[in-house]
Amino acid sequence: MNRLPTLSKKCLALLPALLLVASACGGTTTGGGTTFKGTKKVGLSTSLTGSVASYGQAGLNGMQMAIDDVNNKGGVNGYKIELDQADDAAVASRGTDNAKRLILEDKVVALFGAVSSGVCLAESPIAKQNSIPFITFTCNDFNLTTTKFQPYIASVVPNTYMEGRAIAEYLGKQSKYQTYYVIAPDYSFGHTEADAFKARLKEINPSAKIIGEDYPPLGATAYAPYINKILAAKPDIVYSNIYSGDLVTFVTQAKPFDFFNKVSFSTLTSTDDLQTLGTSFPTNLLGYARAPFYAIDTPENKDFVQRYQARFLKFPSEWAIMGYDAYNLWANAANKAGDFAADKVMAKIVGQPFKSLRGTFTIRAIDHQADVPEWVGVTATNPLYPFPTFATATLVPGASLLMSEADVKKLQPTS
Amino acid sequence: MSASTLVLTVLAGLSAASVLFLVASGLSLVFGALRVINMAHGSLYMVAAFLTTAIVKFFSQPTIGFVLALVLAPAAVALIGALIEVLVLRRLYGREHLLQLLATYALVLVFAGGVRIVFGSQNLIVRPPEFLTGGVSLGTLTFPTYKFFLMFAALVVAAGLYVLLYRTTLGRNIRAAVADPELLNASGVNVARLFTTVFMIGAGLAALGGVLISPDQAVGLGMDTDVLVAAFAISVIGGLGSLMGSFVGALIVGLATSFGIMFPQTSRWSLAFIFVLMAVVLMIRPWGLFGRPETS
Repeated sequence: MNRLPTLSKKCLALLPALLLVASACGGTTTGGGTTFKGTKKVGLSTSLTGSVASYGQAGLNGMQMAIDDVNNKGGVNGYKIELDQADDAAVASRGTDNAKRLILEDKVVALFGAVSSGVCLAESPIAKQNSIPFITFTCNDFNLTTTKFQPYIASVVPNTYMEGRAIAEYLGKQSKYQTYYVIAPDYSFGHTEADAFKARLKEINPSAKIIGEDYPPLGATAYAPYINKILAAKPDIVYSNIYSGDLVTFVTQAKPFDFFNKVSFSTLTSTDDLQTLGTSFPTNLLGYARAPFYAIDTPENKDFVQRYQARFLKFPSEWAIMGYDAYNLWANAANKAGDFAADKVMAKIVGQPFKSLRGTFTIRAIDHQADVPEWVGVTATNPLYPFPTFATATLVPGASLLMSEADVKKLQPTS
Repeated sequence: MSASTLVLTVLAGLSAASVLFLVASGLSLVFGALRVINMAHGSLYMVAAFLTTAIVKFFSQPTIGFVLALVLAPAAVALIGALIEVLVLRRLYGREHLLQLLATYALVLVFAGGVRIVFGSQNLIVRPPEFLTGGVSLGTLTFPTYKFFLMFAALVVAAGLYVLLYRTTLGRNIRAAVADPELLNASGVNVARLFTTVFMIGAGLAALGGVLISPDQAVGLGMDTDVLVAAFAISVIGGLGSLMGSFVGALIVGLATSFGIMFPQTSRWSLAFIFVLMAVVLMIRPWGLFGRPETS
């Protein structure tokens, strides 16, 4: 006799959980005072473990903030959007597995790109096969929008061609730098960016010489032999695009050699690495950055930085800012299209201006690459932050960095 | 190559070999005695490095923090090792290697996720003790003081391991387990306890490597797999189960990498050399340079 009421109580306790499951399966949901038609998922396969995980996590944080902001304003086409995340550990095969699962099983309506260009290059064809918008905001190998171009891609990050040119123009115009040493990670990003840098440098300063090149593997931990080699070569300046944990390791191992007092050094500087190294990050370093939070003078960015700090207790890095921009690009386009179908959404992305934290830019029709800028500058102690920043951050306009349409056409697949 | 470059290349190779020796010797010891390839060995190294960041941060004086980390982190990781041996590995002895690989690979994922939850994804750094910062001048050359300390630490541990293995009863039993586990079983030694102890020592060695490397590189989520690949290559080259094998294997890998990088013609291939060497050793002497062929 006693068992029945007990069971009923258990069933009652289960009811809220069942209701939650039902709502997740497509019922009407509410949130932030809005009534939604249901929920849809967007996918993010990125590096949440492995040597570049800090960048992946920052991108995830930025996207999550954008998703929450858009949901609070009514969502996309009346639907609440949820983020479906997967870890690729910067391994291309895991990226493709994730992309397939997110698209085919979880039915995401858009896919957002990874940290590693190698992973993005592997994922892009899967997005194409399944007609899913694929928005990249960290990986930036220019092949994504040229030799491997496909109609459902859009890039809100300056690509390797643009970034390589930006730093070549910055360094190449300084006549004191005549001999260069190149050090870059041994995969698509490192090589394509170093190639773009070298090509542009040759145009700006034909007398400049590359006196040495090294391509350590991504995730290298022993830089002492490279450091010795660079010091022995005595270049005027080192051009580097090593990043994340690799850059932290390089700086940590180079400092006891008095490296940064002996050689001028130029590298990709991310807020993540600045925060990790703090005051150990070298000053007088000639850096380049894709979206340094402290240099972007828009009210939207200032508001974002404040809210990001309050939520995640750290400064937003470039990947968080561009993750926020990437989601807003897709969400605004899907809202304008009034549909989730990839062709309709892409029609509202391609050739259209989009408002971002960094300002208003356009996704170019020919390659779906945004004309977003790069920032360059010399690092110096900044009393406002517990790490050095660019003393003067100079914005290099994206329009001046884009590959010419004729060159893009030559590289893109013909069919 | 100038004389100064040669000296720096040798020193860079030896310092890289130092930490690799510690990690590889633990991996090798565990395989030798337990016949288990512990894929999570690198994870234990990573856990110790992250524990070091927390311990050093807790003490405002980096020297005190670091010295305590050298004791506390290996002790904590050895205890984690005991739990792994008792709860996971003990159920898998004598089963096919694939199951052991899968189980220890599962632990790799558990540790990667666990470290991410506890410490976050941000790369971290550890400030070395004051007296180990900067460089040592060798005439016109400068070489980091901390890297000399790594070499010294590896020699001390190597000597300690030698004494443990060749001058104590525990060491005699471990060597017996490496040579002939069945005979050991019949000799009345408490094999279950011995295996737990060996696994704890192996985990402690990985952890010691993790503590020692933490002031010399980014402490981040990728360090588990990075070190495992190198430690595995060293163990195969030197011979799984052999202390001398780990020592010589680490020297070969450290120096081959360092010299490989120095020459422009070989720089791109320096990592590949190690695996080519590993493949050659496997073909000619599958039990490694200092290992013993498995008796069936």
